[in-house]
Parts: sequence; structure tokens; C-alpha cells
Amino acid sequence: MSHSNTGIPNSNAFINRIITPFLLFVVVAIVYAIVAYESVVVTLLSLVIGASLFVGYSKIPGLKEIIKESIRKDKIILLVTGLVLAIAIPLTLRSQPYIIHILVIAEISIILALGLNFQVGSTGIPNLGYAAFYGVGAYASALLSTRLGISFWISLLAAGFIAALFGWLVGLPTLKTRSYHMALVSIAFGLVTYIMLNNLAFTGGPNGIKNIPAPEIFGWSLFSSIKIFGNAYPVQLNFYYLVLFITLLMVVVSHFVYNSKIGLFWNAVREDEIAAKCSGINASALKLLSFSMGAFLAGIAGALYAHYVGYISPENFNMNTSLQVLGMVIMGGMDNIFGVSIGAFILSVAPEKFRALADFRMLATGLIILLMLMFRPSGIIKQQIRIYATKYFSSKKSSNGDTNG
Amino acid sequence: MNTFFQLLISALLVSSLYTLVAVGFTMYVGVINLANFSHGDTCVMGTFLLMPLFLFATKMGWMTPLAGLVIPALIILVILVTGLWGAGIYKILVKPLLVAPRLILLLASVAAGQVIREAIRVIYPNGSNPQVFPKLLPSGGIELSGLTLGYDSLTIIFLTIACIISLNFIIQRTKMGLAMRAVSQNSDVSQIMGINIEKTIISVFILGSALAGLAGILNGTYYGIAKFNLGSNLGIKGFSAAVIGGLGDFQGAIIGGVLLGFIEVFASAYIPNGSQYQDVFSFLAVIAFLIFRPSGILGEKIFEKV
Repeated sequence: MSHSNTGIPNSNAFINRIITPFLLFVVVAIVYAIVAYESVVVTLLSLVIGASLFVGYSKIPGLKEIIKESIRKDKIILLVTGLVLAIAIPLTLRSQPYIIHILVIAEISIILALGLNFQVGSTGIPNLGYAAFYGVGAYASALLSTRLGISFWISLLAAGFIAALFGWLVGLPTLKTRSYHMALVSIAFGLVTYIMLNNLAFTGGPNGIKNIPAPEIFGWSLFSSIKIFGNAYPVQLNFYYLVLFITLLMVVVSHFVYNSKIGLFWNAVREDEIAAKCSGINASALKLLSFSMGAFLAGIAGALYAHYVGYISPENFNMNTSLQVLGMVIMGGMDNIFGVSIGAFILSVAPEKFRALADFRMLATGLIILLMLMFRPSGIIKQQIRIYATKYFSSKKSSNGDTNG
Repeated sequence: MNTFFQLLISALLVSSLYTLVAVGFTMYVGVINLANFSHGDTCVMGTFLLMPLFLFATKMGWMTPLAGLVIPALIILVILVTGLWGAGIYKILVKPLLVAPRLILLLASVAAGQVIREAIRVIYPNGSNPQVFPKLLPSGGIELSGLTLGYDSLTIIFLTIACIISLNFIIQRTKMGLAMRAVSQNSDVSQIMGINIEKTIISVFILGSALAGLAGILNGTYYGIAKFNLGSNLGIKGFSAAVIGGLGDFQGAIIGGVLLGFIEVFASAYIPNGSQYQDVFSFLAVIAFLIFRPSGILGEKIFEKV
């Protein structure tokens, strides 16, 4: 505990009361400005303001504790407001279907990044061919629904499980070896998958798969637009809500997994595998589980992508995609679900705003990973120290903020 | 029979390239236990450094009278630059991250590779497309009963063997090589014994990256084209060769490189439709090794200690 704790002005109840709404307003304003305005200047300005506020947040002594405290206190209000905003904001973007499209891609990226976070962040297994699992999921669900006519919902789950099976198989040969063997095998798997998708006949070769049917909910296709008060909304909005629902589900599931014993054991394996084994943790099984669960999420994301865009080709799932997802995880903060989601959101929305610089996108991704690793390896939001205490303890502790973060 | 010998020669060529990459890789692992994933991109940096230099030399008219002198000079220059680059990578990237978990360093090297690759693509004029690599080595060859041995192939194989022999000499017979071997066995104890660890590691990085630059140039001359993203493939092949031979083992890397080259060439020749799946065979070989002999051909079994 730092000495700045004493600096929390308990008497200043008014500031404490308005701090949460103020924070909410600032964050929403910045996010909305970045998302909704098709202007590089606005985006740049909002990014700069956001970054400087963040630097202020982490540098000004005492501020961090106050903000953390108020977030903890108003957690439920914040979550509900966030949810309402996530549902309501796209309704204001009726005339800008492209922006809703970007948001859908951002949601899919969040699922992807959460999956990779299980492997790289929580368990510490480098996976440099993550896009292959994404591709396996996308192709599995696309093939199931175009060739066999299986409904979206079943093929979505099937895609997840097929990708998880691949994850398990890829994880198997490297259980007894060191971490860079895993890196090698995952890169090799990524390349092999790419070659296979390009050369096999039933995956359509380099042309990919076209005309993947849209999902249907009780016979109603998501490719038909909703009308509210006589205004037709773009079809992207339907997908936005579908993917939002699944993304939230995945975030909640990831949260529970992280806070369960499995998440703790993963961390133990990451910190010291031998010590974890000596404490009775089945490291091999946990590594396989982490790998399959990450691949499962990638498969789900792939299926969503395939059915949303309607067309997939091997180019969507090459090494660059793997590195982009890696960038999201590292930038957001390894092993922090909230941070990883933020990283995924930023790295999938920001490039769309700087389309003039599209040629530099992969260079920027590489530089971001490199600079983050060198200067802030914990990412935007640090991984939290796990607090295991009884309710009595935690209520007592919550009066003084913890120093990490 | 004739095709068999042609295949043998191309297998030797591919093996030479892989060996040159694998040796650097295995030395990094041996000395600081780092799998440097930017190694393959360092090779491509060598390729793309040579091309403008060659164009410049041609433009200045140095090529016509003195080609036999200018080309080796250019190659040596490129090798020196990539060697210095290796030292820079160590100073800027690796050294600050040595205290961090190895995962961070590994990911950073992946990102560094990506930065090199994309920087080449963006900076080099028309870099996204494959470039024609100049013919550095003399054309023509020796005819041996219907079998042609190209001078260029012979030069590549000869150069590789020369490099390996001299590197072996450095490692086995010189004081610096002794220091490298000591550091790779136990860096703490070798520090106590008065070895300058930093100097040793830097010399390993210089040697490895210089070899990578040479490998990139030879790769360019062998295939006749250069592409910005060849590095990831070359690097992974080099790593695979190092794993097959036994990571951290110098002789193992050579054996692994040769084995990988032969597997790749012969499998893609004799398995129907194999040339499309050439990379798949070598990765299958690596995975087989990881399952059945994770320490490689020459590597000793590693017992992890607390």
C-alpha cells in the first residue's frame, strides 16, 4: 500500500459522487467520437485526448486510487449503463452501415483476442499461428452450411468444437517441450493450414467459399433489415446485436474461467511449471485445456465472421491475422479480460479510421507489439493481483485501494 | 539415375541454405536460450541490401572490368552490415528484455521480424512484389556424362562448407569459441571464471546474423527472386533444422539442415503432387521429432531443475 492512500479525501463526498458519471461521460464521448466520425482529425484528436487522460490517470498520485474506488463502488451501474449504450449507440448510426460493420468486426476481434489471451496471457504458451484456428472455424462452419445445409446455430457450435479439436491436436506434441517448441509448432500449423486451404479441392482453393448463408432466427433471415417506426435499419445492425450477444456471453464465460480454479492453475503453470506440478497441478492437462479453449473461441469467431461476411478465402487467415490478434492481446494487457477487450476494440477500429495509411498497417502492428513489450509489457490495463479472501476481508480491504493497476 | 543426381544437388543446395540459417538459430538458443524469430527476416534483409548495392555498382560501371572483385566485396559488405545489425538487435531489443520472462523476449523477436519484413516492403520501391535478384555467380557449368554441375550451385555449396568449417574452427579452437561454449554450458559460472559474457553474446549475435545475411544472398541467387516475406519461411525452416539436430548444438544444426533439405527435396519429387506440399513435409518431420525425440538427433535429454 502506498502512502498516497491517506490522500483520499473522504470528506469530499461531492467529488466522489460525480466522479463515476464524469468518467463515464468522458469515455463514452471519446469512444463515440472515434467510432462515429469519418474524419482523421477527430479520430486523432480523440486518441490523443484519451491517451493523455490515461497518462494523467497513471501518473498523478492518488488519482488512480480514487478512480478505482469509485469504479468498484458503482460497478453495477457502470455495467448496466455500458450495456444500454452498447445497445443504443448503433441505433443512432442508421445512415452509416459501414461503421456498424466496423463495430461487428471489432466484436468478433474481441472474441478472438479473448481466446488467444487464454493461451498467451493466462497460460504463457506462445501461439503464433492463431489465425489457423480462426480459419478452421470459419471453413468448418462455412462448409457445413453450404455443403450440408446445416443451420447456423449448429454449425457455429460445430466450428468451435472442431477448432478446439485442432487446438488439442496441435498442443499434444509440445507438452513435454519448451515454450519455443510451441511457438515453432504453432507457426508451422499456421503455415500448413494456409497451404492446405489454398491447395485442397473441397475448400475452394485460393478462391475460398462464396455465398455462405446468413443465420436465421426462427426462420427469419438476418439479411432482412429491421424496421422501427417506419425507418429501415441496415442489415449490419442485426449482426451487430447477434454478435454482441455472443461476445458478451464469451466475455462472461472468460471472466468466470479466469476467476475459477482453472484460471488460477493456468497462472501457476505460467509462472513456474515445475512448481505447479509439484503442487499437484496436472500441467499437461491444463495446457491442453487452455489451448483447446482458446481454439474454441477462435472457431466461434471464425464461424461468426464467415456467416457475417458471406465470403472467406485463405487470405483472411494468414500470419498477419495471427500477429494482429497477438497485438490486441499484448496492447490491451495480457491476462486481463477487460484490457484485452479494449485492445481488440482499439486495434480493430483505429486502422479503419486511418485507411489512407493502410499500407503501413502491419508495420504499425509490429511496432505497437514491440514498443509495448519493451516499455509497458503489462499492456494498457495491468493484470490484477488475485485477491482470495472472505467477504469480511474484502469488504474491509475495499476501503483502501490496491496498488496494482 | 540422372534425375536422382540432379535432385541430390538441389537437395544439397537447399540443405546449405537451411544449415546457414540453422547455425545462427542454434547459437542464440545455446548462449542465451532465446529463439530469435527475427532471424529469417535478417536473412531477407541481406537479400534486399545487396540488390540496391549491385544496381549502384552496375550503374557506376564497376561491374564490367572488375566483376570478380566487386561482387565478393559487395557480399562481404552486406555480411558486415547484417552482422552489425545483429549486434544492434542484441543491444536494443534483447538485452533490456533479458530480465523479463522468456515469453516476452520471444514475442518481441516475432514483432521485430514483422517490423523488418514490413519495413522492407514499405521502403523498397515496389517492395510488395517479387523482385528479380541479380545474377551474382558465374553461369555455365561442368558437364559430367550428361549431368550438369552449375558453377553457381557449386559456389553456394562450397561457400557454405567453407563457412561451416571456419565457424567450427572459431568455436573449437579459439578463445572466443571457448567462451561461447562455456557461456552456453553455464553462464553464471563462466562469469565467475572471468569471461566477459556480454562480449561473448554480442559476438554470437554478430556471427549468427552475418551468416543469416549470407544465407539471404545465397537464397536470392539460388531462386533468382527476392520477396519481402520469404524470411518467415526461411527462419522457420532454420529453426526446424535446429530442432531436428538438437537445439543449441552446433553440429546438430548442420545435420538437421542437411536432413531437412533432403526430406524436402526428395519428398516433393517422389510423392505425387508433392511440390505443393513441400513445406508440409518438413513440418511433419519436425513434429515427428518433437514427439519421439524432442531433444533432437544430437541433443542431450534435458532435465529441468527447480
